[in-house]
Amino acid sequence: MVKGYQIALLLAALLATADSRANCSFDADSADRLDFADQIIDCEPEPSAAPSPSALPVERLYDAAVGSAGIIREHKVVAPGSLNHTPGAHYEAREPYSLRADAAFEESVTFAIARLHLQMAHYCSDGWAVDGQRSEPKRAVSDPLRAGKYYLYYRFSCAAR
Amino acid sequence: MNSTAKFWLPLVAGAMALPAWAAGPLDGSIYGKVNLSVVDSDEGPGSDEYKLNSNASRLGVKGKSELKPDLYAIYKAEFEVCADDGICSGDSPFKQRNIMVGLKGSYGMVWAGNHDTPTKMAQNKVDLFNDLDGDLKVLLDGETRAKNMVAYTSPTINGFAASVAVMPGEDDANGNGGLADGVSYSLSYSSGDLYLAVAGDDDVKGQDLLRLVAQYQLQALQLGFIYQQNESAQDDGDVDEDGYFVSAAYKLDDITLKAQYGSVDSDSGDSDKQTLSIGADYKLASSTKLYGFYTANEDGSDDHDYLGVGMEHKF
Repeated sequence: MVKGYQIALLLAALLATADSRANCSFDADSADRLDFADQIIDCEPEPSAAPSPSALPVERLYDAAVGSAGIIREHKVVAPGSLNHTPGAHYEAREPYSLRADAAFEESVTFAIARLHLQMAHYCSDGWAVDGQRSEPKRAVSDPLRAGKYYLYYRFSCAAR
Repeated sequence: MNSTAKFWLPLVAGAMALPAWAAGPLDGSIYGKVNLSVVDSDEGPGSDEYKLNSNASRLGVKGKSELKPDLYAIYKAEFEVCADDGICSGDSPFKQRNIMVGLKGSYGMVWAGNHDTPTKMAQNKVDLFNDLDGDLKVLLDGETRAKNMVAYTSPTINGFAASVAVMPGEDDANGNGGLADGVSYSLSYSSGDLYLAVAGDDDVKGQDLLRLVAQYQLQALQLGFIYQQNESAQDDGDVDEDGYFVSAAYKLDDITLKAQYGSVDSDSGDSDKQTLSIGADYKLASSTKLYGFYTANEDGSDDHDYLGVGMEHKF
């Protein structure tokens, strides 16, 4: 005998998928046709609940409590045995930059982007996608010397192989 | 409820109800229909009564997962729900219908499950009173949902498509321990408004069968034709039949007028069969229709008459 919880689960499933049938011409009779598989492929919507980047676990590649030295670091992105790539893995990297008039040459935003690209190539050697980017002013603005200094953040994910 | 249904229903429903990001790319959707009719059923003395019939109302889940470019996992799990009295099988309100899983790519699809045979699917809705009292299955054998079916369906090439299914008998004690104790196949051709198919069974439900199907859409008029020969697979069997079935539907805006007739001659004495159905559908929406019908079935010396009205809603 079917239990009450089984019916409840069915109803929950109905509600959970209520939106996924929009604009689909597949109906109950289509399931009995010889070409039912084509009907499923053509009519079944792509997974509509794909996780948003913000809902995924993200590995931060920096220590939020420690400021970057603001120097260019080298990564052996092409040396044998050093390639890193986990398909679908998500990371967040940041690099400082400065818009102050007295900013050092290596503090320009162009170099910050270059450093971020080095990190993306290092952790996703088979390719990546930038899921989002943002900029935040450096904390401890009580230090007037830090006014005009920022962090540039790249949130990225490794491509599927 | 059979054990398979008990297993699937909570599992599939539970999985569908989970947040999709919880376990990766869950995909799929629920579909189904409720089809209820009130029928004045006259099946002879002592069986002249009104009935509320559920007419194969069903609930199913289906889905695809693209594993690689042009390679899909396809699944479908469908259950009949008995919306009239809540009793489908034993004391269960559910009964298993087509359930399958397969891999589909450019080469076609390899699949398996408990499913309608290629012969049954080749009918392509020539039967206009499907699931009602005038269903094609009251006339012709071969409307089989086969257990243990392993099948291959080709891609459609220039309108041609083929399916072949084998069914292990799983009964070695009686000489049915092979992979292909039963075989069903179909070859179909579609081009514009024309559909043609040849299908057959080899030792499916104890019968060998050949079926020819033709369907043509002539503007608002749809014509269908089936010819079939079937006989017992064993030499000492008592089935040897041949029959035909014709149908016509004419669409007038939201109303579709329908009629179908079929006859089977049997070489085994008093078991000739005939069926005649006439009726009309009134379309309320793409998903919903009202209908009325009259059906007269004759099986040997038994005459059955049905007069009914009903409603079908698909979701």
